[in-house]
Amino acid sequence: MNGEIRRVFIVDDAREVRTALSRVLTIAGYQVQSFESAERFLEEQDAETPGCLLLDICMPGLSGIDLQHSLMGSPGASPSTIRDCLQRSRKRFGATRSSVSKAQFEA
Amino acid sequence: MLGFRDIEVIDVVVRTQENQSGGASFRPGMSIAMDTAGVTIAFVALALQCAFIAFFVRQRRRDSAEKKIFAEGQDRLALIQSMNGFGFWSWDAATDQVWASTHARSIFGIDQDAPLVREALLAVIHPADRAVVVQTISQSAGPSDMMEMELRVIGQGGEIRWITAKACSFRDAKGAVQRMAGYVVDDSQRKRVTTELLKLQQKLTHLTRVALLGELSGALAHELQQPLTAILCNVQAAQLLTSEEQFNVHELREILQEIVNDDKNAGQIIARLRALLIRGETQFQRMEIGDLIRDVVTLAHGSLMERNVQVNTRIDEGIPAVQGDRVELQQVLLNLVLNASESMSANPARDRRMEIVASLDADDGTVLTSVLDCGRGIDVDHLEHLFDPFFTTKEGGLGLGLAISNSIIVAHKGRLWATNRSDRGAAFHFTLPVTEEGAP
Repeated sequence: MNGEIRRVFIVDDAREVRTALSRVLTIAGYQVQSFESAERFLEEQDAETPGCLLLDICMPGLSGIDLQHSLMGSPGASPSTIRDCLQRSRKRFGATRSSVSKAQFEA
Repeated sequence: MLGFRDIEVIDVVVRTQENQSGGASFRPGMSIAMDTAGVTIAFVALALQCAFIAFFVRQRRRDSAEKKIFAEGQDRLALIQSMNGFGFWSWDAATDQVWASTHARSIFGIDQDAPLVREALLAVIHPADRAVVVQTISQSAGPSDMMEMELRVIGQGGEIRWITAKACSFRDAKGAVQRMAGYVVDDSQRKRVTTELLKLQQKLTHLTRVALLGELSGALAHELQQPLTAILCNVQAAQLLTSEEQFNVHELREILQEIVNDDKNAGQIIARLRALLIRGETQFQRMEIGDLIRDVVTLAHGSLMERNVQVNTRIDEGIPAVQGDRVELQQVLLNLVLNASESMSANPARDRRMEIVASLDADDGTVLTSVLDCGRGIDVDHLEHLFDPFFTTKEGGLGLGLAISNSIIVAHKGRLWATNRSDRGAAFHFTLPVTEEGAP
């Protein structure tokens, strides 16, 4: 990862996952911002801000895939890493294998 | 003896009625008044002689005929008894003697010629049923008020036989019990079959439950993945944190506590699943309908999320507890919730709303639970067959889910039915009686 980009956005509806991810990344030296829903992220986050996005796919309301699609359409879109949800969800949401990969957090 | 005399009396009555209605027919003795006095006396004397002779001859013939009829009647009675498996008994309060027919004695497991009193008869009845039997029979007002009961009898070899009994009390003018009598049927065979059926039904219920959970498995795996991911992240955080010489002990404690919580969460998911997978006897217990709904929504959470279904629950306040088997009722509600969710699969993702509503019907003392969806609704032709076994509209569906759900609700003394909602979608409703102490 580029040394300048030390910012990570977490979007996950599961509180325990959000907290734990945020903790391990903070300790690893990243600047972390977490959101409980895709809607929240869109509301509070300026799309221009560079950073790494960790997205949960299965969420109530706007799904991870929905968010990714809307971000890809916006100017200055950054490639996002989507945290894997379910094999079935991949087919369901029409996500391709390349766009959905399991995030690795080994420091 | 009594029975045969009764028949004769009825016979005479019938004949007299025939004569009266016939009008001009012959009546014995009518001619006497019309004859002259002398002839009358001679005739009367002769007639008396003839009558005496005829009487004795007839009496002897009748005695032997009656004996023959009686013996035949007894044989027939015994035959009928053994054919239908009926045994008769009666107890006389004044003498404390019990008379029991041959078949009754063999049902009770009592020697054929042993003299019998009330206590000896009661002694063969299962101790748990004894008091109930005595109480039930003494509640009978008279022979037209037959009391029915199921009881167990312990045979001489210690084996238990199920018996269906009908009995009544005969009372004097003051209402005191003079006699108790009734008949018994050995029901062990039927009872065995019923028990077997019950076991099969339980197996089937369990199998459909397992199939239901199969539908959830993908979503449940995902749900289990969440606490596991959290645990992994927390452990990695702790590893990173403690790789430095100096680290924040307070933060480490916090991380460890999180791991404990995550682990407990994972355990709860497995425990809920396990409770549904275990095959057990039906256990009725007091439970809140709100807890049932929350349990099921939690269980189905992953699956509903995956299908973009939003669930609203509305549970009225002050609903009394119901009596039920937690696992079986979860199965019913889970089935309805998953059906509702599936019925909305053709709706746009933002238009898949389900409502679960619970309210009290104070009039008939039941709790009504409804699952409402905004899906495609139910074909009118299908409405009456929905709860038939093997009726299914799903591809690959067994058609047992609703049939089993129905039998579960019926066993809870409730009712399960379906309606189409006025605007769109279907509604499934079931009622459960409130517990005795919770009754309004």
